[in-house]
Amino acid sequence: MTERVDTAHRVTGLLRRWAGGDEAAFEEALPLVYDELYRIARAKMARERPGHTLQPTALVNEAVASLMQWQGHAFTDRQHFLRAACLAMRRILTDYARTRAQDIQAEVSLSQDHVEVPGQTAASVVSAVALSAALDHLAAEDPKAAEIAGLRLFADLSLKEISAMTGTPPSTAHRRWVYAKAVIQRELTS
Amino acid sequence: MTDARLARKQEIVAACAAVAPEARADILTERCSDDPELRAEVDGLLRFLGAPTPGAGAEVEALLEDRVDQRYLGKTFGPYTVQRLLGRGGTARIYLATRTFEGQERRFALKVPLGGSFAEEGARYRLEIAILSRLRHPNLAGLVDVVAGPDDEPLLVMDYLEGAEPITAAAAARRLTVRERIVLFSKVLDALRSAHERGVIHCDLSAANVVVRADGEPVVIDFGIAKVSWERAGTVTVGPRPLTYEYASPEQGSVRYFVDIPN
Repeated sequence: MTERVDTAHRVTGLLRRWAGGDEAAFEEALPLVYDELYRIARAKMARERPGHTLQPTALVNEAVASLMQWQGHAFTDRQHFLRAACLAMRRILTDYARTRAQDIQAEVSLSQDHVEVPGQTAASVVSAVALSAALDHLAAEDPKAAEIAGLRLFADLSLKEISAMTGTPPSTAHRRWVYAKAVIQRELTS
Repeated sequence: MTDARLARKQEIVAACAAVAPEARADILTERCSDDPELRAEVDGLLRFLGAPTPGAGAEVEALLEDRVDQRYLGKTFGPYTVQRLLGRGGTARIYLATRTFEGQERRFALKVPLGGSFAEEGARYRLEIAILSRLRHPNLAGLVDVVAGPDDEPLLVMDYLEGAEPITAAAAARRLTVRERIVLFSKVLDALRSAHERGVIHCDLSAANVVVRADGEPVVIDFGIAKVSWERAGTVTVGPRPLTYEYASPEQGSVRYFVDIPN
């Protein structure tokens, strides 16, 4: 337990340094957030029966809550935690895709903006391997669009929130999300 | 890919996403003419865009507004050519359209569904057409024609009310006497009686929806939320609905009410 308190303190300190402009601190914080997220994911998956579905949004929010519960945090802290957690979620998906022989399903909502994507319901269950590949593909071309997609898919943030959080103008955030969605759809379909 | 090229590609994809699928090819032709490679890349993404995406933030809204205007302005639907925007409401926008026959130009108001709203408002629109088709009175805004828009959405061709202003403003501007006001208002009542006889209840009567034309004739407009009363044996059941509070009857505000109109 004390180990986790220590981790949470370290993560908080690193994310604060990151908020202050120290990019290296973020790279240092990410594995810690990853570990916490992975711990929660594994615990959840172990309880479920086989053929289960990974719910990234629930996992990310739980990881952020878990890391933040040890001390009072300002809202900006939460935003930094979320950004880190969404990136960590993406790495977890990639790792799952790489190491598991058996594919798992991830439940994500691609039809945001209250617009139905043809053939998709509000939340769609997609292969975690395929989703991970799609996000990697997108990140290789446009890491910023991939980050927005992560925040949208894994933290269920609105474009307005994402825009404020990442300092991206709303129109640019919107443009990147529309693009990201199309690329992800294409990769999932192919 | 350079950042600038990526941004350009994403702008084009977003512009395509904002319009109906049929209009996307035009955007490609217009914006990728100098770059076949870019065109191919965007083209490969088009079928994954889905239905038009409403925007986030004012800049995107402005972009969508332009896109809506571009779909209609200067275009010809049936015999009607869209000239300019006259105004916009909650679910539709009104353009000035003209029809020229043997050198004679006639002007009409063309009512089109707002961008992105047709999917939700389609049923509402069809009902409005059905209602307007029932109306026939010199003091009711008449439906002249219905033509298909770029997405086969119905465009309502209505009488163009030149220089129309709300009845209260018109009465004040013309310094009408009490007698003249009563005569004017009687015409409004007669128009409404005619609508009621045909089973149509306006449901949103207000000074803004009763206008006076340049020639002094009053016209009841905007049957956008009107109801047909005979759909259930002469009885309408209505839940909470949009209304104009200053003018709505008290029972319109209640959750449920019944109106009996003899057919």
